[in-house]
Amino acid sequence: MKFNFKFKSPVSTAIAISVGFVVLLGYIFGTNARGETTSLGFLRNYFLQGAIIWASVALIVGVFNLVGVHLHKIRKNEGGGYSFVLLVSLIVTLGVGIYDILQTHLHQELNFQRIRWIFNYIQLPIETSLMAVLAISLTYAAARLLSRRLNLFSIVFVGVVLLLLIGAAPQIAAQAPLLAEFRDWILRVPALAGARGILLGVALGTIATGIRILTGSDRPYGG
Amino acid sequence: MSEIRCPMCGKNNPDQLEKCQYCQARLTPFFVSGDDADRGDSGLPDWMKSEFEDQPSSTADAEPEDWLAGLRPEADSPDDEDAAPFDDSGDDWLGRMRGFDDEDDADESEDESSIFDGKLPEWMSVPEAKEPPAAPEPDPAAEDAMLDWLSKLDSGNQAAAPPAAESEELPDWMLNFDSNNAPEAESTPEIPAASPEPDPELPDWLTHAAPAVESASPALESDGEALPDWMFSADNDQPESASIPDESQPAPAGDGLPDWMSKEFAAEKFDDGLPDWMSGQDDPDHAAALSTILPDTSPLMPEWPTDFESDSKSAVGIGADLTPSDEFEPDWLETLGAGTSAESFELEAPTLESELSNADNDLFALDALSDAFSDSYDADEPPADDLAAPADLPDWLQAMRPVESSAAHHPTEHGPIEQTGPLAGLSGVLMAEPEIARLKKAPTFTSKLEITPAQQEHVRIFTDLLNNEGTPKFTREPIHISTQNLLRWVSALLLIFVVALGVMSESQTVPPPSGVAIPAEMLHLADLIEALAPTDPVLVSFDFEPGTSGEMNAASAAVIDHLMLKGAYLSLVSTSPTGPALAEYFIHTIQSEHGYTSGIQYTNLGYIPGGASGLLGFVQMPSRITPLSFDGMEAWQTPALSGIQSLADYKLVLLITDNPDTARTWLEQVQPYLQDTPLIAVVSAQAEPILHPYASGPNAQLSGLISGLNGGAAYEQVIGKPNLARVYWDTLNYALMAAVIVLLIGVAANLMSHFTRKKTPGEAT
Amino acid sequence: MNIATMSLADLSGALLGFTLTIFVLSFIIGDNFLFRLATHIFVGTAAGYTTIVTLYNIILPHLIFPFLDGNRGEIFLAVSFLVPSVLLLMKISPRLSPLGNPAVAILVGIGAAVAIGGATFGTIFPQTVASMSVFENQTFINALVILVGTLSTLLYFQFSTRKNETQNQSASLLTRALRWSGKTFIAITFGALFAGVYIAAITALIERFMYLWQFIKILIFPA
Repeated sequence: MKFNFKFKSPVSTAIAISVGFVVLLGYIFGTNARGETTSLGFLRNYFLQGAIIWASVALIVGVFNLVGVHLHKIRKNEGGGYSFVLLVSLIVTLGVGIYDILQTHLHQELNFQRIRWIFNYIQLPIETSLMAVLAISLTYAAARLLSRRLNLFSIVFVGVVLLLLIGAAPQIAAQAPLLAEFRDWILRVPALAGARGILLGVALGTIATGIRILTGSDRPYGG
Repeated sequence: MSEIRCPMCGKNNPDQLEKCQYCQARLTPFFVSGDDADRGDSGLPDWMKSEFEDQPSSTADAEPEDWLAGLRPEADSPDDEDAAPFDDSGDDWLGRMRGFDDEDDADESEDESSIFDGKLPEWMSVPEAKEPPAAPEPDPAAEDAMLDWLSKLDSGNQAAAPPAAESEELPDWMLNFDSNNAPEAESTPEIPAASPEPDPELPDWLTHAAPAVESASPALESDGEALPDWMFSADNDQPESASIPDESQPAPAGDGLPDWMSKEFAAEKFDDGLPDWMSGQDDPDHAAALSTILPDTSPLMPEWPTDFESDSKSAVGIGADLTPSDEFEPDWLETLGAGTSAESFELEAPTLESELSNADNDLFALDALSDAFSDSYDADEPPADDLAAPADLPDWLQAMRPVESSAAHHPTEHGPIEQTGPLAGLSGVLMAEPEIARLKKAPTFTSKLEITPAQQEHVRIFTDLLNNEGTPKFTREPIHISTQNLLRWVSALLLIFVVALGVMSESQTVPPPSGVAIPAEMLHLADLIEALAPTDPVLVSFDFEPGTSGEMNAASAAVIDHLMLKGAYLSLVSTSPTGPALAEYFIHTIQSEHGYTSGIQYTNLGYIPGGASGLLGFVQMPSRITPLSFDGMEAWQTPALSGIQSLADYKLVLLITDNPDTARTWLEQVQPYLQDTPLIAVVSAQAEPILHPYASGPNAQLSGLISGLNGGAAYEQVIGKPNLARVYWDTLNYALMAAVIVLLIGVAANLMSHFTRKKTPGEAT
Repeated sequence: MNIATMSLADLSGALLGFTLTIFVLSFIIGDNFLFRLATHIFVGTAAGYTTIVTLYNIILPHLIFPFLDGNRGEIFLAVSFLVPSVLLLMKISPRLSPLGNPAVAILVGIGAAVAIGGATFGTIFPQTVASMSVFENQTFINALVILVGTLSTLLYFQFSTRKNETQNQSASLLTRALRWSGKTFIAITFGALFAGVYIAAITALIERFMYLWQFIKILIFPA
């Protein structure tokens, strides 16, 4: 039996636009003058709660996709050993987690007592170590900052990095307070100006993108 | 009274007659003399000698030789000693070859034509010196059975008895041919007489075989059974002289001979002269020389015959290992091996075509010949390799060789015979139709690639050369340490060494930030926390990843410590799936001294998915979004959350994050709904520059900001209680100094490299 | 920490964490089997852990438990959430994937509306107000630098969106100066960000070495 259902662009677009406008209007008309939630506010809240639930389902879909990708790799024998390890660790973690949940609801134990062990002794050390390796890589990258391109902006970039690192070193900062003040000035004046410009630019870009979605110009939902 | 049918004219004669009363053709076969056998055995192998030695006694005494004996009785006939040469070798093919030679010579030599009158030339009369032993009479029944094909052979061969009838059935060109070759036609009646009489012991296949096959030597046939097909084909190539008459009547020829052979032979026969390869037989020296120079003097000749020849010669060179059967290689095969025949076929075929009306068939014959040769080589059978050198003719064969058939009769001397127009029948005239106008099939060449062992060796060597060319030779790579690699390893080792040293030393000698180094908003933040009463609800968001937990734990440890010191009830939440576990780790590991218990002093609300949407939903209806605590309790029934209806009910909201985007989301979605509740943040150093705008100004959205390990250490100084940041502080100091040194060295090296580097032409422009 | 007081689970966990840390840090030498093994274990456990947390925190309370002990209103609400969730699960199958488009459209619509509202009310308005009042709480020079830096960075974003050579050539001196200024401020801000990332990575490296040293100390000095 072959399914060939397709929610064509108008249907999905209409759904996205209507739901988006309800939530957006809820910002303004979600509460009345007395601070009580209006019908529009309830409708917005319903969609917000739904968004949380559906985002969770989407996350599980992502995990299924991950499983599918690595099963495919195992079948194709493309790094199948690593994929096998990945799937085994995933299944073990899932099994331990489900056992934890059952113990919580059947025997009123505190939840996640066992899976927390996996987190603390497997996930946490690995992820922190990855960040530590990044330090080594960044050291080398910092040393080569000017090797690729040498112009005013790269020199400014490297100069700021050097100043902020020197100013952050406690002993240097203690020995050279002006240097520490200069570092503080950089962070609070020019860097703040640039960051504010970036924040405003990002906010404007976000608004533009949102408007395109709410007007149906962008349809990133496969419509 | 029995009658015997003349094999030439087909008319019946009384059986006591020796010659046909109508055409004077001999009715009884010739006999070979014992001297002939003696003389000829010098060149024969042992088995052949024994055959001849056994002949006088009986033809049926030895079973294996029966079939040979069956052929011999005619030769044993004492009546006619003239026929001895035909039976000399016991091989009809030789006799036919001789006959073929005679045919070729007949038009020029009257003496040669006398053989057909019962007189042999001198070279052939030598064997008549002795009488051959008597042989049994041929079986009449078997003889009758043979008459049919004999008559066909005869009629086709000689066309002597019924010339008129023959001429009526033949096309014009054939009539011309007949007229041109009249002496030849007369000379052939002897051949059927020399043909073996049917023997009762003769196998069926031989009985029903075509004349050409039948004419083959019994010895060869016996060999032929052991020989592969290609050899047989090659055998048939030579005795085609005996099948000359078949050309005038295709039917019999088609019975026994393959097409290619009959057509090819037709091409040979109807030519005025002998082909080179045949003439080469006249003179052994000439044949040897010809076979030697042929590969070089025939540019049109394909390579394969040359290879074939060279292989044959090389095989002869190691003739010490030859088996008896190998030694008895007939000369025709040797000549074949010399490649001359192939050349003659190739070169003469177009000329001979002009003499035949069905030129296409000739080309087919050439193709077949070519295939036969290629097959013969492909088979790589020993007989092909063991071909004798051209000059290595056995004595007996040299003695009977038609010396007169010389190369003087080159086919190109007279040229093709005109077939149309008033000059029809004349040879040597310019052709009315140009060759190019004739419809003929494109020659088909074998698709097989014939490679000699020598060539294979060359190919192997060449392939080895190519492979070696493509294969990189293993050479010890020089250890090349570039400046960049050196910088990489030095920077990594230096940083690791400094950090390891700082950690293992556990020193806490470097003074933490104090005084002016503590920013104003940090003091404001401390005041906010200090203003909290015990059990005041505080919302703490653990929105960082495990990767930055080291920094975030150290940065926030003092702030959380301060909150716990004040006795605030904490509500923990996260928009990261790992946040709740990190919060539990923090509470139970880093701040375990406060003994906060889940459900009492703190409640972990867990994970809020959906990013900005989830956070806004949590702001609008927190109890509906997170009904359960992370450890499975009814979250909103716990003391930490009692009285909380919205986020504005919290006394303080603390955001701990390493991600500026997450911080921005909190500021955008949560801060506007907090009303008077202050929002403070402990952020990673990497998020500080982006979050500064939210923390500056009189109406800053962030009431306080602590960033990184520096901020954590400064806050520890503010509250006067060293914590985790203090443990890291010295090591961070050393590591930053080392990093600055590496960075300065790298920058200096890059600058020097940049200014000292030669500008390439592209850069200069 | 004392090895004598550690439980077997903690001790084995510490050993596992130590081993995995070494595995990941081996990347400093180069990409190798141990590093890949550790990262695949990490991905597997992280996916499993995320799935369990999502399942327990969101899926069970909102989609499962209402059918077990909820009233009619809660069941109806759960059904209304369940239908798009099932449609979203269709995304697992490539054949049925189009059925999930409406659910994705709802998510996208909500997200766009929330982003527009948040950017408008959380960034544009507050940061614009802060920029306008910069002269109130800063020195003139600092305020000018912040204002110029913010505007030039914002303008640089606009110029970086499209490259028109004709437009660039005919740009006024002021515009080019603003562009140059915007690039400089962005370089300063990115330099500050890089320094912050580097300090964070070094802190992570220190934390990992601290962890390793603590474990070694436990083994060497058990008391």
